[in-house]
Amino acid sequence: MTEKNFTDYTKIIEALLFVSPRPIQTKTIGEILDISEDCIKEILKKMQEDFRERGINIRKVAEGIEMCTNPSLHCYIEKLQNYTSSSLSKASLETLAIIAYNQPVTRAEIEEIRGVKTAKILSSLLEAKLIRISGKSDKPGKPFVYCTTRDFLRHFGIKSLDELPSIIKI
Amino acid sequence: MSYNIKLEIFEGPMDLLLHLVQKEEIDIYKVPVAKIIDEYLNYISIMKELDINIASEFLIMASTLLELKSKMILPPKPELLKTNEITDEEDNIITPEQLLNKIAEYEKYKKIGELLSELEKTEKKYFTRPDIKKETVKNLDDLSLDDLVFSLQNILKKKEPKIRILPRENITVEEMRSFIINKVKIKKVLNFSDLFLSETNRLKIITAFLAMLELILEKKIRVKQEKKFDNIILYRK
Repeated sequence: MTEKNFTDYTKIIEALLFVSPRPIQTKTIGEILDISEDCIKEILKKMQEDFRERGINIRKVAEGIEMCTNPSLHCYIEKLQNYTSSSLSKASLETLAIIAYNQPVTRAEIEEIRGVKTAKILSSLLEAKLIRISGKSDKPGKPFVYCTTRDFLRHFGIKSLDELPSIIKI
Repeated sequence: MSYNIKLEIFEGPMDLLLHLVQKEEIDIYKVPVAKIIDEYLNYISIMKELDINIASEFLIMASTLLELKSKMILPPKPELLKTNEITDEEDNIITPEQLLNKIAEYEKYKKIGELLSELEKTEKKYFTRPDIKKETVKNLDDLSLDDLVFSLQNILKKKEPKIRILPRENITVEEMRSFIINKVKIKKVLNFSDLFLSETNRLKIITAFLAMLELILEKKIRVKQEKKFDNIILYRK
């Protein structure tokens, strides 16, 4: 990769990141630019460093890359507009924890651990797209099994599922 | 002496059990199970006294714990001692160890939930750009099965339910009795199905059947049926 190529690719990737409303995977960028993922990773690493002290940062999240505001500036952004994003309830967080660490998992298995009916929580998590039905279990009655989604990773700022056990030691 | 009862709100029976165990401030596996069971049942009875609606899950757990407690008090039957493990499975009663395991398992996920909540708080400091071109038609390739199900549910919700009033058939058993007697008087022999004209409903058939049974009891008519589900033939007495 020549220096000219490097600056050209950086420009394109910056535009792609700006336009995309959700994290882009390096694989997708690779397909668009027709260069290897290793090259892209190299470019992204440089970009992340260049943006570090800017108002906009570039970060890895939910198995992809996205542009986001510098987290140290959140108090100013909140003044600009009244951002009131609601937090998940205790029960929802508990249910998500069980799904994240046991997926794919059936409703009965979740209820066995929590000791409480979970149908309503599951349907609200499905609607929020934090979980999805990934198939059916072979158990009697062929119940649905649930998995977490990329939106789940993004909601908690997690890079990938592999990162979960290292964040939260159990 | 004054009572000061403070009831916390628990997510479910497991949450309450965990709270009781944590109060002991020792390792979960060293907790005296009998004491925890007593405290749990005590809590439920306080809730009952205060007339608080208790979710059914709390009561199911209470019965499970009572079963466990009674088993712990009773000495094991000597003849069952040898095959203890098998009978445990047959009885389907959880053992104190299993109960503590379940509480420990629940504790684990409760902690993860709390940590996820911390992550959620941190994540709120990051702002990303919303979709600029929201009006663009979604590519069908991006649609998941869930998207389709949601759309269908929304369409079905919008569809207004048809309201219609069902007419009530105002025929009483008494009226049906005199109707049957008249019919039998005129025709002498008739099929049960002849009692109804072309339009009929279940209620009318049931009324006729009840009236027929009353008339048989009072020996005003006789009936005959060749075999099961065959036509019932009514005779004049």
